[in-house]
Amino acid sequence: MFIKTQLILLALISVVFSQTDEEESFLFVTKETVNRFIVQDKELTIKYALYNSGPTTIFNVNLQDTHSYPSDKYELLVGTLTPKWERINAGVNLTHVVVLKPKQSGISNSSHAIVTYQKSEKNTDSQKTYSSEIGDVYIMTSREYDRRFSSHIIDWVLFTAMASPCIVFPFFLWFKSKSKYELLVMKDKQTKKAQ
Amino acid sequence: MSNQRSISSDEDLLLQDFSRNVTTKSWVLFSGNAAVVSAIPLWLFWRIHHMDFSSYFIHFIIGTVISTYFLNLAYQNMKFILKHKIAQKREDAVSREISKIFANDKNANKKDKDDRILARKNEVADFEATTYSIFYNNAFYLVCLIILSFFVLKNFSPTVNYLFSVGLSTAVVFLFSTGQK
Repeated sequence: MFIKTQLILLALISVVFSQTDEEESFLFVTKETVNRFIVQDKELTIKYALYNSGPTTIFNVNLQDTHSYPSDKYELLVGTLTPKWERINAGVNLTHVVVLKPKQSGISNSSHAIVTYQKSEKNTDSQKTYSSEIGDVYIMTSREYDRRFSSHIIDWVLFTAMASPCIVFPFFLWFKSKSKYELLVMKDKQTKKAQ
Repeated sequence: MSNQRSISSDEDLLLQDFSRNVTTKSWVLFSGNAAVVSAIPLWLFWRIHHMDFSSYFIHFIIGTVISTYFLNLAYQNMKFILKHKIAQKREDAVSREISKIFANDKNANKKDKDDRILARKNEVADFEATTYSIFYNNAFYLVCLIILSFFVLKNFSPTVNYLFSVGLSTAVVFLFSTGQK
């Protein structure tokens, strides 16, 4: 048991050391949506986070995500879907935000963003990496969103105004008759007591 | 001859008193109220659940007709039950009211006075039972409908929401009106 754990530990250490010997950086890209709900004709915010994990700087970083959000289905409001950075230093975390507006409702799939970069200034071989994907999202219609979330206070006030006569008027008539006859009995009882 | 006529008019009065059948005027009043109360929630469903009239026309018509019919029955049931209870309660007050009117009239005999008291008692009981029945059933129906539609069935599709909330609240109001003794 002890020898087994020692062997596993040795294997792990050798892998780690072998990787760092090459002195290459890896770029991790995540893509996520900041919205809780995605609604047609309302703003959708996409956040890309790039992290240079390795010990060296990387150069000419290009992010390409126009294929996930074609212009016929999404309107670009803020930011660009093809940002470029000249360099990202080692251990640096970078975020890029894009604001879009979906034109259509229904299920939509947004795939990975493609990021290309160079591992050194002299070596022009570009490395390609893919971001995480958001996958299938449901874009609800603005009518459904209003139905679920808007407050409708004015609608309720008007409904109360319409429904009150149906309830208040019959109650008032009944109460008026009831109090008239009860008062009559009470008055008579009081006069009899006085006598 | 006149005795027979007065007996049959007494019988008619008793029959009317104990019959479940309502007069035409009462029926019209009840139907009108039921139709209005059934129609008012449609506005809520249109504005808040976004059910437009063109696509949900049939559902609305069916729901309104069914709830109008059963609300009408509920009004009648409750009125019949309440009328006798109220008549018993108001007997004393009505007889005092009539006695006051007849106090100055020396020609009136006891039978006329009793007839007047009975008629007036029925009139008052009828009126109070009608108004209370309309008020109570309307309030009960609307509260049930709002609770079902906006709390219990909130996340269901609009069609299911409308049909079940109208159906269940109508059924509850109708069953409650038949259940009382």
